[in-house]
Amino acid sequence: MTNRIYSLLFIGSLFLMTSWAAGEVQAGDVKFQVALVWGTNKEKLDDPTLKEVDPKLKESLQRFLKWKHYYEVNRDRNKEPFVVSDKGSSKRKLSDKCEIEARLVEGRDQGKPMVEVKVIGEGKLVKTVRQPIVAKESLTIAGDDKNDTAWAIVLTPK
Amino acid sequence: MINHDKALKLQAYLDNELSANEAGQISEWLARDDEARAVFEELRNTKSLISGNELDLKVAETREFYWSKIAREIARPSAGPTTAPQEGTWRYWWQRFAAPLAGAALLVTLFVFTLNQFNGFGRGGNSFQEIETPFEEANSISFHSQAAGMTFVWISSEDRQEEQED
Repeated sequence: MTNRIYSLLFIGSLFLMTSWAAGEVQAGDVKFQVALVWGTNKEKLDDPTLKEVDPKLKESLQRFLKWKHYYEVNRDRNKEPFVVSDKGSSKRKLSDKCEIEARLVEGRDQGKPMVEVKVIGEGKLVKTVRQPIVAKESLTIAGDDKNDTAWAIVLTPK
Repeated sequence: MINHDKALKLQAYLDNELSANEAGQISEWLARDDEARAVFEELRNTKSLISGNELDLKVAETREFYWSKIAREIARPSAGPTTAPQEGTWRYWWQRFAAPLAGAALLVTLFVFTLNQFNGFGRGGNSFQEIETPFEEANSISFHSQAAGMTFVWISSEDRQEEQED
């Protein structure tokens, strides 16, 4: 009986350790799904190519942002996974004005990989964000824009 | 005053537990000693009081069935003695080292998790997040939501803030 309890404890501990390790993304190439999102309160859009983001992403964004509607810019073009590696920077043009440049860098935390994302707006570097990569957790970089609207770049590890 | 041993003899006499010789001696003693007779009477009264007022317990089953159940329980084969695993087999080593292994694994797990919480670099931890802003006029704030599974960085330009204030 006691042996069974010890066995369960041992297996449980191994399971916890494994699931924790699985949550940490190892270095190498990391694929992201990238989306450029535009937030607005407007009910009617001038640009018919914009498509509403999926409800799950909308719900997540609404935790942080006040806008009613969220549209994805160039969804078809951004369907391809964005591969980020530690060997060099990868670039992705998200719209005519916005592009991102990303690479994997060694984090301060025991060399665990971080993704470094440079947001470039109209050819100028706007922001550099370095963020530890955690499986299934998105990184969203957002900002305000003209006419009470907002933009957001959502990077989700695939 | 009747001592304890004598009182016990009286009790045994009352319960018919004495030999004929001893019973005769007690009988003679009772005939000549008033105190002994008083104690004997008290004992007899107590005995009749207890036996006369004993609760009559009745079992719902018949006597035969009741005892057959007990007999079956006695006859039921008990779980035999567990055979100890032979030395050198994996079962032997597992039984021997299960406790220390489980303890060590649990300690390591707790240590790793505590360390992660302390350093803030565990799942969803973003204390090592770094943000560089080349423009002085752009402010940024960041926060993390475990529920949304998202780290959020908000860049707010001063131009826009002034626009909103106007």
